[in-house]
Amino acid sequence: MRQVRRKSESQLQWTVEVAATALFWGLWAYFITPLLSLVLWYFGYRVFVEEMFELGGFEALQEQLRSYGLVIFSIFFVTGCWVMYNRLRYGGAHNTRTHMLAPVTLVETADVAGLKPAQAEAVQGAKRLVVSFDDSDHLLLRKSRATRASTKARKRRVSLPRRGRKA
Amino acid sequence: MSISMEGVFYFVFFYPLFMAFFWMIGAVIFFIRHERNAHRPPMLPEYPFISVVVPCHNEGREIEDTIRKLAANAWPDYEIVAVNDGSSDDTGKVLDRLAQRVNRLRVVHLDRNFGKAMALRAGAYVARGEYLMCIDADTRLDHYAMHWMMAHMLNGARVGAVTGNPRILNRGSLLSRIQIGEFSSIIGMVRRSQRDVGRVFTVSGCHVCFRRRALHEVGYWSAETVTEDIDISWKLQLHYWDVRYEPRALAWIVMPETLRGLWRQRLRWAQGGIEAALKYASLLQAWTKRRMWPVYVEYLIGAIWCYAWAATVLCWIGTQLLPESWPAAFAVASILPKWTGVILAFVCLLQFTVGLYLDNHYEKGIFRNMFWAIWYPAMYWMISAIATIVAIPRAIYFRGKVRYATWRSPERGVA
Repeated sequence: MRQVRRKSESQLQWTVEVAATALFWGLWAYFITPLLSLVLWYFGYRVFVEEMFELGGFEALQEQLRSYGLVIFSIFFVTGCWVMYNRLRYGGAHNTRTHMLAPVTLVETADVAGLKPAQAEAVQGAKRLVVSFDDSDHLLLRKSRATRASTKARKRRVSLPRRGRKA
Repeated sequence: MSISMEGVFYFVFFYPLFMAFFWMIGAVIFFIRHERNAHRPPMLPEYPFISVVVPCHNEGREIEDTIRKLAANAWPDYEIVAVNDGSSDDTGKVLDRLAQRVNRLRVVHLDRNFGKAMALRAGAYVARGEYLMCIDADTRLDHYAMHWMMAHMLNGARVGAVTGNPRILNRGSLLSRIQIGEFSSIIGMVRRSQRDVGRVFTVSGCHVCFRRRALHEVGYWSAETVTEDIDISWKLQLHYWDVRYEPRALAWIVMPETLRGLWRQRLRWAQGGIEAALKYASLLQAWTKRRMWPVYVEYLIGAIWCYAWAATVLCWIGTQLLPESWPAAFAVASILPKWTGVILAFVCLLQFTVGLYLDNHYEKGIFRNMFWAIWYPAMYWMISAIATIVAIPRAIYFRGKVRYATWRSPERGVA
């Protein structure tokens, strides 16, 4: 499904956005100027040797990459151990929850919602409801309109008592 | 620069770098393990009844389109429970009118605004299904999203929730286009790598499927949290329920297109994160909760990073403005490191490329947005970092004082 929503922008707005984004790319390029210099140095071998070896540029890069590599390796070593531990400890035969738990019953839902089971059944069959919550976060029924789905409720002639908000 | 300031400085630059590597490799591993070979919606052993719960607050402009798309979903047996959370616009009227035409739709009106968590609770209480698909009022669910999510539910007894892959629907402004890169390069990759580790920080509240048994066991959503999705994710996982991520379950969402809307959204996200961190801090002392430790520690380090970043920038500004009198121990001569800058710039680009490559499987042509991705580090890191810095004292101040956390929908700008 592809349903992208676009609006028509003014030419000025579009130009400003493109220009500002290009500016940020310029900033990004600024970050990599040492690398660009490296390429330029390549074409001037003597300067390259001077900057990279005699003045220690290459050593600095090596040192940075070595320390980055060490930290990245440590992160993945620790993470890898954690993932393996989880697989061994909780996966396969160690999975202690392999059977599906029973669905929540109407009585359980009624209990947590603060309703009687018959009320909960009627509520679950209503097409339109107006409700509120009391101070215990229990459902308060204000108004309801039944639907075809609530045939059971209608058969049992369950009425929905209006409950006032608790003080 | 003193040794301690140098340590802060290196932390500020190294942390995003190493996390970027962590996310990239984690995301690629997840892709190879779970996504590479399956592209068609799965054939399921059964197609149980699902209740789709849609909480709405002042969503009169969006809700009709959402319900119409939802009513045409490919899942064979489901109901739609729309919960009008005390809207002051015409959301209630629109829903009542729609309910007369859409047989699957049932409408619940709350008599005042209780917040999203309570609206979801109301929806869950009146819903008939054991599986609750919760989507926002501005979320357009993909035709087969429920198939992908239910495959997890039916195959894993431990699965309590499955979160999907939200995509940006509106692309009419620079802000929304930048967020395309964010959702691919950050959110999608973080979710994938967190699943590799075993626990996720949060589901996407705009698009998530729950097993009612799991919700019932943890006491449903907490009314006092500003981000009910972060809270419920932690509650479920602390009760040993799995939270899965399914990138093939797509949903199209509307993101804020104004700076104020974006700021409010990010502030709320940041506040929700710190609320959860404070509420569940005791898990660090419990060996039985150890699977949540990496998520918790990652969040804490991220929050500390925001303050470290702010301290570094402030020290740099101080050094530039007061070169003579600024204490030498807190002097930062430059915030543009030499080779570190090069590596950061390339890692950033690499991260965008990997993220967009992965999501290109689900949204063809997304690479066109690479041009706009460059804004992300400059703007979103800063906005998110400042939001976190502001949110932490707010979360501490409001802790325990709010009964029902209500919030305004983000300003979306033009439709």
